[in-house]
Amino acid sequence: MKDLKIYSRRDFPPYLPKLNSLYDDLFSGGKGFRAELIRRISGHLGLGEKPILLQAQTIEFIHNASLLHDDLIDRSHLRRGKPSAWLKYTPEYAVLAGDYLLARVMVNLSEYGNLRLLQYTAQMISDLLEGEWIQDSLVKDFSVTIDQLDQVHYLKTASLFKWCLRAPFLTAEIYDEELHGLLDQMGDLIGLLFQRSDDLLDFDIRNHEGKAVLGDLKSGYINSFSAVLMEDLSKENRELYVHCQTMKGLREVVGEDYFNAKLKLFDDINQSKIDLYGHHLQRLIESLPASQRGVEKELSRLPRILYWRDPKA
Amino acid sequence: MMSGFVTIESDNRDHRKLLDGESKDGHWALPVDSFRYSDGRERTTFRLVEANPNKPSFATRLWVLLRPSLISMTLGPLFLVLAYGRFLDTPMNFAAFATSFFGLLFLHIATFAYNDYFDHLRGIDRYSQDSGSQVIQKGWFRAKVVRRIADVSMLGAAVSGLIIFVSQPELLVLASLMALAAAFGFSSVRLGLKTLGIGEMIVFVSLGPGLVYGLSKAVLNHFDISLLFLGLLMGTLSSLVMQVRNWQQIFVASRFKLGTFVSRLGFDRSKYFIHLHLVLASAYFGVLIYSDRFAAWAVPAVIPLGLLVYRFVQQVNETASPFSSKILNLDRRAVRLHQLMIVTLILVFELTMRLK
Repeated sequence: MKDLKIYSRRDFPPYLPKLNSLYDDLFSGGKGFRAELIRRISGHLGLGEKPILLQAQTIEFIHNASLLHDDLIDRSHLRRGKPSAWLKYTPEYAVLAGDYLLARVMVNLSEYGNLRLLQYTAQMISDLLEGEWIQDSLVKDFSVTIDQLDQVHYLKTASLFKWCLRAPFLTAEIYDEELHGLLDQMGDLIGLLFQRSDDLLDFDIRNHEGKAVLGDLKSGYINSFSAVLMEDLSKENRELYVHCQTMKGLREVVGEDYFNAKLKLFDDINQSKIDLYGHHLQRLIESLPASQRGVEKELSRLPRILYWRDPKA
Repeated sequence: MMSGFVTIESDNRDHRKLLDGESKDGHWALPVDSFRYSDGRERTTFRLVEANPNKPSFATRLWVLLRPSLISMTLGPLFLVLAYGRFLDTPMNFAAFATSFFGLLFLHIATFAYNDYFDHLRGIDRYSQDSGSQVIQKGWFRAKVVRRIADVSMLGAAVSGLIIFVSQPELLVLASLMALAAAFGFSSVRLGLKTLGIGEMIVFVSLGPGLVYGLSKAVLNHFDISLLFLGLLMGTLSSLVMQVRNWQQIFVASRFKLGTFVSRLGFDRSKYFIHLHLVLASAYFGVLIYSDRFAAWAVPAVIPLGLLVYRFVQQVNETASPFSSKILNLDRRAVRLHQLMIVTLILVFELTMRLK
């Protein structure tokens, strides 16, 4: 994100102790993928620099607010390789800093004056919080199913991706209901695929970034791939599984062939989601005027980036 | 282009045809997602699959569609009335029994087949994979076949009902009142009556006191206070099954704005409401089993029921959210409670009679 300066100290009050240091830490490590996606889509809709920055800030502020709250809820000690805000500062400051970001989003959007965008953003934050709330109730629930997890992920993860796809059109004052319905469905699919791929990282699958493995399992959270892996395990193996501390140990418990078969099944299920995404994308492009069809390039590569984690995409 | 998917709006003639399961270019169209416009129109995306996907035998598919696990709710009271008649040594009308049996069986099939069909049309079963029998969504039956099964069964139920009403005209009044209440409760969405528990009351009356009264008049030509408590007990347990199902679906119901009494109460307060059903059922059961006419040995019969109730209460209390795995099989446990209650009562009636 060289072109967009999402976070600037000058946007926040200098008299609040530790706030700027906390945000310096928070905004320094993120990839800003969502902001970049918005920037690229907005570029094809003829939006200027100011509305693009507003959207990019909105999504990154909300995303980072959710990370501040998430880390405290999960008692995670590390965020992007550095101590979490609630540990480095205090839990109180972490909560307030997250709330402050959400408030800032509302102030910025109301100043901009696009009521539809404001309403939709408020709805997205509401969905995100519902997802967070429900997810907390699933900790130590070792029999949760992938269908149940999907419902949580639609709220918690997909709501942000849907916003990234729809917000540029709303900002460009394109309110067509059918178009937004399509973007909604595509956002749901891409959000779910991202979450499932993120869940695979926990098992060191396509983990090019070297993310810590088995973090979810060690925190007592069964993620989507775990749910699929545990489906056909015996009661004894399920008991062993939930206490695994290393990938080697986990693969020994479930068996190498079993693990690979489940991974293939998981990828096949998700490939069918990617196919459906492709179908909706085709319909979206057909419904857009020629001047906006450049978004196809941005949207068609999302499954490769977000699910297959293809570094070349 | 053959993408494997086709998307159609509900005002397109092909939309209903595909929803009904008619083939598209030799393929079977399975609905995978949908979008509802603000004017109520729906846009559905279908996945096109080979016309003959892997599916179980016809008998297995039919068995799943018929929801055998829930049949005790409709046929159970009939066998209870029969057992109670034997216990009282009251003369029984076996022709009425047979007609009632087939009538209820057909009604059961029709109710659940219609439920599957209309929930499929409304898109509810696509959203929640725990809703309905899922025979349409799995591609086991075309929707129009499910509708046909429902129509034929409803015809069978109507013929059986007609035979009973001809011989017992006073039951027609009861049936009309119940139908009127049902129509009122389910059609008054604007008045918000569904969230006031009207639907639940209809289930309670029509699978409880109303059904037991009708059956005992038809089969035994007799009704007394014990049969009233029997009806209250059956109605409470049937209502319990419905409340638990609604509790499991509270998220979908809220998102689809389908008002239920449980969604009005909210997740946590619904736990108390479910527990209230168990307290009432226990009270009705206690009055029935400990009345003068039953032997003291009936006490041990309560033990398996007590254990099941204990485990049920424990599971309800441990359910942390509508997404908790604890909630998944709770409805099956409620149905088992209903079934065990019927078996226990039939045993109590039968053995008390023999040991008198």
